[in-house]
Amino acid sequence: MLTTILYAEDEEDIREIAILAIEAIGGFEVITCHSGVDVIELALKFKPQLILLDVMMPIMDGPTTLLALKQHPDLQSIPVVFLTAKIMNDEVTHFTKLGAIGVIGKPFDPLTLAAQIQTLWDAHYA
Amino acid sequence: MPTENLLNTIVNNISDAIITIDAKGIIHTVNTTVEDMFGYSEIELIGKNINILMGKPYREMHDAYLARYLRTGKTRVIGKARELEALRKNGEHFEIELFIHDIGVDVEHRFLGIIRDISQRKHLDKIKSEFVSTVSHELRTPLTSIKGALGIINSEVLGELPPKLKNLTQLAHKNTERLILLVNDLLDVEKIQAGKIDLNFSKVNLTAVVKESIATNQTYASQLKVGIELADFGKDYFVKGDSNRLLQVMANLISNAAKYSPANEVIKITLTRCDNLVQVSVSDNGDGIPPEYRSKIFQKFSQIDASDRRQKGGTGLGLNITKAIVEYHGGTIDFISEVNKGATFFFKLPLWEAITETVALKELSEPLKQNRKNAGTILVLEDDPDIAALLTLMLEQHQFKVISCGLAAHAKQLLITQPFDLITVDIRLPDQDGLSFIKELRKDNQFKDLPIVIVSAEANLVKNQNITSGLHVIDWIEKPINQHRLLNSIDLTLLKHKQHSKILYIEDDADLAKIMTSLLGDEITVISVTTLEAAKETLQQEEFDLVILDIGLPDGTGLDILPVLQSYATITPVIIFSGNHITTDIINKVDAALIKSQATNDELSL
Repeated sequence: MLTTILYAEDEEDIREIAILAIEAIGGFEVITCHSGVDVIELALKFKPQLILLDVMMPIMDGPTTLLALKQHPDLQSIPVVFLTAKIMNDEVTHFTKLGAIGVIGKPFDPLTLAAQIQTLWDAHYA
Repeated sequence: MPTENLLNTIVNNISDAIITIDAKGIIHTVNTTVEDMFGYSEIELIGKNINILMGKPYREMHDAYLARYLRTGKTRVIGKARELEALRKNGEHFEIELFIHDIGVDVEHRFLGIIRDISQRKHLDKIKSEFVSTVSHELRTPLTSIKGALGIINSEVLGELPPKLKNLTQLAHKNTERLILLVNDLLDVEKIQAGKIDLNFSKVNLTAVVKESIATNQTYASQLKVGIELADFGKDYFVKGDSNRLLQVMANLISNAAKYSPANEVIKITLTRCDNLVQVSVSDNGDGIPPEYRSKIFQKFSQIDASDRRQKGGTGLGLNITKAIVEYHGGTIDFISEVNKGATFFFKLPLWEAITETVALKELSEPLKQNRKNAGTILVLEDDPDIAALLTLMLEQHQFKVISCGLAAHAKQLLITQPFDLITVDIRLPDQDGLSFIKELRKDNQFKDLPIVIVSAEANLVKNQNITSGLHVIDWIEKPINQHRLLNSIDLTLLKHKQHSKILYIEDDADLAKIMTSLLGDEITVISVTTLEAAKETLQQEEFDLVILDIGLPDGTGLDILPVLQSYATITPVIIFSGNHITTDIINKVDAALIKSQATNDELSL
């Protein structure tokens, strides 16, 4: 069952909204960070069941973070979802090629964000 | 001041460069602006061939164009403004607008060229586009937060809202959504202008798309108390399309119709087939569109601006985007309307069955592969003398022997009397439909394997340059990438060595290179380079099964690589990937002449 999500997003306001959407509305637990650089460390520490990544972040962007996760033997099996404004067909294809299980577009609907994540998670393990 | 001096002074003070040449392309006079614009002095230019001022590929072609004009009197350039690339003395390429006039002096031909440097304008256009796209992206970030925050507040998960407060937060939420739509539209318009709109083509059930669009827009229409009715349903029509974009087209047409319908009226939607096209029409019973707005309706930011209409909302970009999407699908859009009698918007798309895959590519590659060194004899069946002349010119430059004729009947006679290695066929001929001509040929044992290139003005994307280059296979594909087409062409050319193929991709846009790599999957190794220089170096070190090349590269035109490839012992197929930004005359002409076919393989092999 999906309970813990790790979420990396550099925009503080968007992070705030997403946390509310995932925790208050979705009932999941969220651990957050500001950049991809912290993802590996936090993922090893908290063992989230899913990782949600922004694409454009300082220091280490989403795709680079995903590649780093995929190369880590303990983390490579954790499903990754992108939450991004880059949702042109080509971009989505590219993210999926990199190994993301799904892409959720921004602006996202806070009321359905958690449900969207759950659906992707269910489909991945179906 | 004597008149002649006065005229000289005027000519020399005009900001356009003015040049006269003779029938051989030799420069006779230049005004002083030419010196400023091109960096050559008058003495350096007089007596030289005009082509030293031209960028590739005009440079090589110009003499031949001139000769053809003098021989046939046929041209596309005289008396019209066109944009192309010129070359300064310091080697810098720049964009110009050129007007040419034939000012025959007595018996001898003279041409007057007026050249305007438009590089600055082009540069500003580009900056503007980039600006709009950056601003739009930047707008989305705060909008995401605002919309999200308001959404959560309105959901009342965090606590119930007093009714008056709720009204206000709902109003704010609704307007955020409007703003997001506007930003999306702006982005779309920029993408369309930059030719970067991305379409994912596949076989799409248009009937299903129309039904889905009715379902999704029902809520909006019922808010306005307007009904939607699909008049002619039941039959499925398939098109080659991007279903999301087609939904966007329908959403635009339906929401417009709903906006302009009086309450308690019904929007009627029909789907009908006419020949090889399927037509979708959306009718409302609104006030109609006054005739004086006809020409403005598909323009950007156009809404009928009468004061009683201003409250209709919307960006005025919808129909502009809709038209572009329909046209990217190879379709057309139009409307009929009478004041006070409503309006009907309709678009037509080619039916799936009628769309061609690259017939030419498949048919051409095999025989020419076997026998590349000896350029063969080609029959050009084309009734437009301009296009026939152009095809002939291009083919002859690559050592093909060309015979052309304008009638199918004539072509049949020629085919019987002498052997041909290939025939190009125009689909629209005066005495017979090109397709039936081809079917006829295919039935005849003698001609059932004769390679055929379809040359027709109908379709828009199938381009085959095979014959002109003397290379193994060259296909012309336009950006935006049509994935299906692209893979198709590559599959065809790589058929022989399907596994572990290696492709060299010459493209200066790193994103595109990434996309291409992911499109092609794991079985194919793609090595991408961004400059000509790097391409040449890589080609010296490794062998490739296929080269895909972009024409506009930072250090020259991709076409320059062709001679390098030709010099190798093994034949490397090439796919040319040209962007919409290539508006040069030559490319246009090649497009106009060589592209385009409108029949399926099945249809042709009957």
